[in-house]
Amino acid sequence: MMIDISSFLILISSIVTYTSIYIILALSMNLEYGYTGVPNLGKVMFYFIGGIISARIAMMILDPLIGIKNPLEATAATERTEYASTHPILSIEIFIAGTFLSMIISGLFGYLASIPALALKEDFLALTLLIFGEAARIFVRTYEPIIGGVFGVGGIPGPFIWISDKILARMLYAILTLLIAIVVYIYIDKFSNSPLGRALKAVRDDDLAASVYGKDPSRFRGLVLFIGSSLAGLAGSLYVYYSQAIFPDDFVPALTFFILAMVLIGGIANNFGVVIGAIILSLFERFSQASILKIFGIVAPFDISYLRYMILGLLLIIILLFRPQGLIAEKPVKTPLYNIIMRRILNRNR
Amino acid sequence: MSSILVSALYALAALGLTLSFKVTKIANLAHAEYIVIGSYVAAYLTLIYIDPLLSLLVSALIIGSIAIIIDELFYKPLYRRGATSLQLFVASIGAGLFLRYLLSIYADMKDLLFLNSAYSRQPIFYLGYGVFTNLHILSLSTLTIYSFVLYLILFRTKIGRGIRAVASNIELAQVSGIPVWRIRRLTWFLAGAAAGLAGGLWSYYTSVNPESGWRLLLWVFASSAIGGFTSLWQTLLGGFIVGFSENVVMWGLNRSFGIDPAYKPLIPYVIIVFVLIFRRKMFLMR
Repeated sequence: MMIDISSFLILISSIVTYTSIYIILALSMNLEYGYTGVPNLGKVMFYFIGGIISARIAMMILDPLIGIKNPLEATAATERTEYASTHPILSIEIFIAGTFLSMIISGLFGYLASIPALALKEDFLALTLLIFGEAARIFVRTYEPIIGGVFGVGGIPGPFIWISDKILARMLYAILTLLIAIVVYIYIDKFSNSPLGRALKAVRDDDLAASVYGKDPSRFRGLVLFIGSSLAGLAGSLYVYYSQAIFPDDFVPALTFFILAMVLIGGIANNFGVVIGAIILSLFERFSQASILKIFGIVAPFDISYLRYMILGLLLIIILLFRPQGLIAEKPVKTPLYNIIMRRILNRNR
Repeated sequence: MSSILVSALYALAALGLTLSFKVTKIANLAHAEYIVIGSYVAAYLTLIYIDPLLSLLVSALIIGSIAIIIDELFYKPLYRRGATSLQLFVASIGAGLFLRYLLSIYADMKDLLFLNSAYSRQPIFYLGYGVFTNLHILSLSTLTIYSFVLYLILFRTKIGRGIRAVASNIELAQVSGIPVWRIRRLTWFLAGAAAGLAGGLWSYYTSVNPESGWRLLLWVFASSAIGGFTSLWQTLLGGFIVGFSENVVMWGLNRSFGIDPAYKPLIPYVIIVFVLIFRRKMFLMR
C-alpha cells in the first residue's frame, strides 16, 4: 500500500504537534501531582480556558478589522481565515497575544482553584476539580455567547496561515510547538531541581514538617497551581491555533485521564519519564484513531475510540497495581551539598 | 411527579455509593458504570420477555457480583499494598472507564447503543399535571425494601455489627477477629445490588446508553455528598432533595428568571459546592 509523501508529512506534523501539546500538559500535571501532590483532575478545564481565551482574542482582534457583525456564524469564520491569510504580521501577533493572555488567565483560574485545595482531602479535591472541569464544559456548551455553544467557533487563524503551501505551514507549526514543549521541559526541569522545587516535594511528603521549616504549604500549592494551569492554558491555546477551531466537546474529562496516565506511566516527579510517557500515550492515541488505522487497512466492527478508552482504563489500573512508581522511578535529587556530604562520609570511611 | 421517581432512583444509587465509601473508603467513580450495566441487564432481560420484577432482581445479583469481582481484581490488591485514597480513586476511574467502554463495545457490536426496555408504564391516578404510574410504586417499594433490608443487616445481625466496625476502624476490627475481607465482599455486594436495582429502574423509566452513567453519577454523588458520604439516612434524604431540585427548582428558575432548562446538569455541581462549603469538616484534610 502506498502512502504518498504529502499525506505522510501531514501525518507526521500532526503527530508532532499533538505529542508536544500532550508533553506540555503532562509536564504541568507532573508539577502539580508529582511534585506537589495536588491532584489536579480539572486539568482539562484550564486547557479549555486557554483555548477559549485564544479563540476570543483572535475574534476580538479580527472582527472589528473586517467588520463582522455576528462573529459566531460560519461565514464569519471563512472571512476571518481569508483576512488573516493576507496579513502575516497580524496573524503572528494574534498568536503571541493569544498564548500569553491565555497563560495568564488560566494561571489566575488555577490560583483560584487552589483555594479549595487548601481545605480538602486529596481524593475529594480530585473529585471537586474533576466536577468543576465538567461543569465548566457544560456551561460553555450551553451558554452560546462564549464560543457559540455546542457547535463551537471556527476560523481562528494560526500563526502560519499566510503561507500558501499548507503542508509547509503545518510543518512549521509542528516545529514551533515542539520548540515550545522543549522550552517548557527545560523550564520545569530547572524549576523542579531548584530549592523551591525541592520544597514542593517536602510539602507533598509531609506538609506539617515543611511548615515547621518555614515553608508555607498553601502558598506553594497556589504557586504550583498557577504555573501548572498557565502551562495548560498554553497547551490549550496551541491546540486551538492548530485546529483553527474550538468545540466544547473536545474537552472531556477523559483527556485529563489520558494526561494522568502519562504522568503515572512515566513515573511521578520525574520529568524525563513523564515525557516518555507522554510520547508513548500520544502515539497510542494518534494511531488508535479510526482515520489513521484506515490508512493501514484496519477497520474494527465497532467505534475504535471505545477500545482506546477501555485500554486507557485498564492501563491506569495496571500501572497502579504493578508499577506505582512508573517506568522510571523517582530518584533523590543530588544537590551540590549532597555531593559534598557524601564525599566527606566516604573519605572518613577510607 | 417524575421528581418522586428520580428521587427514589438517586436515593437508591446513592445509598450504595455511601455504603461502599463508608466501609472501603474509596470514592468509587465506577459506581456510575454499575448503574448503567444494571440498566442494560434489566432492559435486555425485559426485552426477552422476562418479568420486570425478576429481571430487576437478576440485575441486582449480577451487578453485586461485578462489584465484588472489580474489588477483588483491582481495589483489594491496591488496598493491601497500602495505596493512598487518591490512588484508589484513580483506580476507580480506571475501572469505570474500562467497564463503560467494554459495555460500549458490546453495545455497539450488538446495535444496542440506545436501549429501551419493554417495561410498560400504566398510569394509576392523575394528580394535577403529574401522573402516578406503576413504576412509581415499583421504585418506591424497591427503595423501601432495600433500605429496610439494609437496616436489618446493619443493625440487627452480627455481620452488620461487623460492617459498622470495619467502617469505623478497620485495624481494630481486624484485631478483634472480625472477618474483614468477607465483610468487604458483602459490602460491595450490597452496594452493587443497590446500583443494579437503581439502574434497572432507570432503564424502565427512560432509554439508556453507555454514556448516561456519567450524567447520572453527578446527581448520585450530589445526593451522597449531602449525606457527607457517611450517613446513610442523610443520603436517603439527599436523594430526595437532589431529585426534587432537578425538576422543581429548575422549573422555578425557568419560570421566574427565564433560565434555559439546558443548564439542568449544573444543579448537582452547585449542590456539591454548597455541601463542600457548609459541611467542610467532613472533607477536611487532616
